[in-house]
Amino acid sequence: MDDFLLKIVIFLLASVIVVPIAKFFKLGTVLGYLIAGVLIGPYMLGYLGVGDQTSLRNIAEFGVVMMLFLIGLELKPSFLWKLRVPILGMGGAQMLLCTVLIALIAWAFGQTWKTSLAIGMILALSSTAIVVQTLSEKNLLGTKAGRSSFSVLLFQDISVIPILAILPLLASFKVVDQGENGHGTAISQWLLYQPGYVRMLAVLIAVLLIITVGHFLASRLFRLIASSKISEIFTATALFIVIGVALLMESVGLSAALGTFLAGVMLADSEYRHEIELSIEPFKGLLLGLFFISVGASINFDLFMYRPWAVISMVAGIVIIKFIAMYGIARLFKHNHAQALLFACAMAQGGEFAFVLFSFTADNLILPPRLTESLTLAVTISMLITPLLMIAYEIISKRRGLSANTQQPNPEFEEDNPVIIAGYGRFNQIIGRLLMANGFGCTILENNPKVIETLKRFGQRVYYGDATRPDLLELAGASKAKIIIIGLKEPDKVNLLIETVKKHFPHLKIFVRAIDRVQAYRLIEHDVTYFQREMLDSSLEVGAHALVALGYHPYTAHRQARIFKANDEKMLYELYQAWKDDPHLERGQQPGEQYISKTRALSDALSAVLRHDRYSESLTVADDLSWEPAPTEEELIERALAEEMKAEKARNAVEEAVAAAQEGVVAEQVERAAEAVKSVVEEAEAAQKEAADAENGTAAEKAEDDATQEDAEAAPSEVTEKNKE
Amino acid sequence: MHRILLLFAHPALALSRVHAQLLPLAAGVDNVTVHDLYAEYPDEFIFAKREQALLDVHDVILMQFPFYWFSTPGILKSWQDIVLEYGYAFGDKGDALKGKYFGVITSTGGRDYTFQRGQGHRYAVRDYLLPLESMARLCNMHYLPPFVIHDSHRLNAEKMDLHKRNYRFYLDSLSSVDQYYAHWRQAVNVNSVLFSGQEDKENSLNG
Repeated sequence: MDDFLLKIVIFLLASVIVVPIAKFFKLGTVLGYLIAGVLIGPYMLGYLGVGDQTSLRNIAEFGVVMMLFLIGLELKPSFLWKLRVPILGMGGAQMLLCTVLIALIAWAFGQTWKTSLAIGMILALSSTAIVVQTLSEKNLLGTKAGRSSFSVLLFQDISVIPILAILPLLASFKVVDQGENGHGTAISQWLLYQPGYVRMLAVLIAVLLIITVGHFLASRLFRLIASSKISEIFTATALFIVIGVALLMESVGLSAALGTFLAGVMLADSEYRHEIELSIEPFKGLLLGLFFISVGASINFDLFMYRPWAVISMVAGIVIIKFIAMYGIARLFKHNHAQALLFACAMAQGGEFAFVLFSFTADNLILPPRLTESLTLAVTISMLITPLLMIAYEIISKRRGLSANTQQPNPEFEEDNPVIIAGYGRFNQIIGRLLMANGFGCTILENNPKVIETLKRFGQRVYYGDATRPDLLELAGASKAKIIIIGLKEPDKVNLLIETVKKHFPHLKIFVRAIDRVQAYRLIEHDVTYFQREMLDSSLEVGAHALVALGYHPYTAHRQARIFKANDEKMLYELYQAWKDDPHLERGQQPGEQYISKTRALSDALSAVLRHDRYSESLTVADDLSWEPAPTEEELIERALAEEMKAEKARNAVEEAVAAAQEGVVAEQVERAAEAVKSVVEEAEAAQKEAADAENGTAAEKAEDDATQEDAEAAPSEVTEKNKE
Repeated sequence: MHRILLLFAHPALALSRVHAQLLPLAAGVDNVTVHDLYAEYPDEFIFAKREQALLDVHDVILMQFPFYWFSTPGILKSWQDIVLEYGYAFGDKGDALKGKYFGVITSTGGRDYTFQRGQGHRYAVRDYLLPLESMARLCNMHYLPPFVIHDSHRLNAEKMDLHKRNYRFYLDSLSSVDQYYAHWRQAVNVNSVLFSGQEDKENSLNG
């Protein structure tokens, strides 16, 4: 335990010291981690034993897995579909070409064709971790070359599966399955002994499981978890999904990274995407660092010293062949010189899958162990070279002015526009058009590829991205811009973006569209520069025209609408005060109830508004005193009468109130009186009946009857008199 | 110390030669409230109650505007129509403005002599502003002769400096307007009585 903790401390300390230094010298964090790994590795300072780095790498590889999960989260399925040409075309071509070239050279060096093919396939793979991390660090992942790299890496991840299937066929000796039995879950062991179609079925089932669970169940699960309001459980759930998917995929023989990537894509549409991202991000960063360190630490210097030239020539071979192949492929797929150069620099190395595959081949006696050792070392060193190549690329491109890779296909926000527009839906489009018509440049952030596509067709530049990310805002030039206009659909995102802007770019003026009244309250709370409820003005416009149709003069109608608006805005602030004390929609409320409680809050707000409208008596034309001439005599009398009536009404209301207060006392009396009336009436009725029975009753009887009726009438008047008292 | 409300109206301040330079000066005077009507009410929808509340706390009401078509820009006319309600500014119980001072600061594009009576435009600026004078009288306000800057199309920096100094001087002198009013009230413009001996002392009220 202490030993384990000590190792963690060494890891952390090494990264804390070396990585900032590497960053300072502009070497990038990846190189920093690798150097830190070399330093603490068994051949330099020796803080790590020879066996440690492999055991640690098993944990560290989850860094790569998580990175792919996070990348998946950023890619919606529709966007992924767009990448199908580079993934299949470029990826396929790359694998084919590199495999053939490397195999040919190995064959030329006297290997058998089987061994050569195995080496070719394994070395054709590049390192997802290093490439993606390096590119994203340098903000090149969004460029055409960056996107192509990513697509090719994705294809490579997929092609690991067939490679694993083909490798045993290339064994010079009979494959001994027992070598594999040492590790793996029960399912994977069971699968090993199943025929091919069962394995295929298992793979299919696993993928379908991820898609269905990711698409239909995960959102609900997260909603449920979020409603528990325990943030660490949310993190635990996210981790559970990532690791669970990774294990599932590995047990059916697929790459864990690919599986989690798929899971990430499935969750890209989920409203909890951002929170999931936030909870996974720190793990990913640390574990990825750990992964790079373990790669650095695994460089076997003894072997290197033993056969330096063999290793050096292997490294040179890998890097040069892959560089040339990658450059050629990129040119073939219509990348210009600079883009192709970037692509080739980024991808010219062996991948982390090579470690796994080499150990697999060694275990299965496909390749001689001595050769795999040297090749593993060569791959490791080639990984170390990639950051250096990237630095070289930056120097060359700067010197030759080859900025095409960042400018042409997807410029990385080089303009410093005064306006940033976050979200480019119908509302913000109009704002953007107005501002641009007046000559103000706008940087538009939008994460709906469809909108981007349409706008691009009309020559407008729109950038894909989640505006709530501070780094993206920084890229979009938020530190130089003057204002930001927010038109995002989800209120939570709007809140998040406002908080982000206020925290990181406090100089930006914030303009927001509010979807509804409750959101307007939020915006008052946030104290944004300006907000407008999206429906207010257009509704009033239509309303004013309706008033015209009802006989108002157009100007009167317009004025009434404006008076109404002014009143409504005043009321918004008044009702906000009430809402503030009792917000129905608390932050972080259970999402399950969110919808219901949101509509409830809205309808509460509406009824408050309607109540307010009824009592505010200054909204009719008659109350608008402007342009009113001096009143005529008649009008003065009318007005006096109206005032008198109002006063009368008020007096009555007071009396009623007083009466109501006395009700307790009076009610008893009323009841008693009512009973008295009842009995009298009953008597009268009985008397009437008697009279009817008697037929042709006497005058005396009739007189009696009249008397009782009078009594009955007298009783209620007595009651009302009492009431008045 | 009188509190001064400056009702400012310029629909295209970006094109302004005179007022854009004067406005910051007014804003710098302590007892002056600059109330830019086109900025406050871009859609010319004026809140009567708010304006009345402003009027209530000031003793001197000034209107400053470019002299468009021998009159005020539209929003100032709307302002009168909407804000000066019956029962507030005039008529029964309408004495809210009683005893306050009312004056105009304006600029014309014509040379000063064209606004001499009988000359090019035939009437003086004060004559053209007769409706405002009558408005002031109906509201029981003391009407101040206009402060006029002529020839705004041919201003150079030197002349503008003089106007700026005079403008500031006029605003400052309004603090003790009670003293001066008897002396000023008949003048065709305030400039002629304030800055006698300077270049535009052309007019005196005698015709």
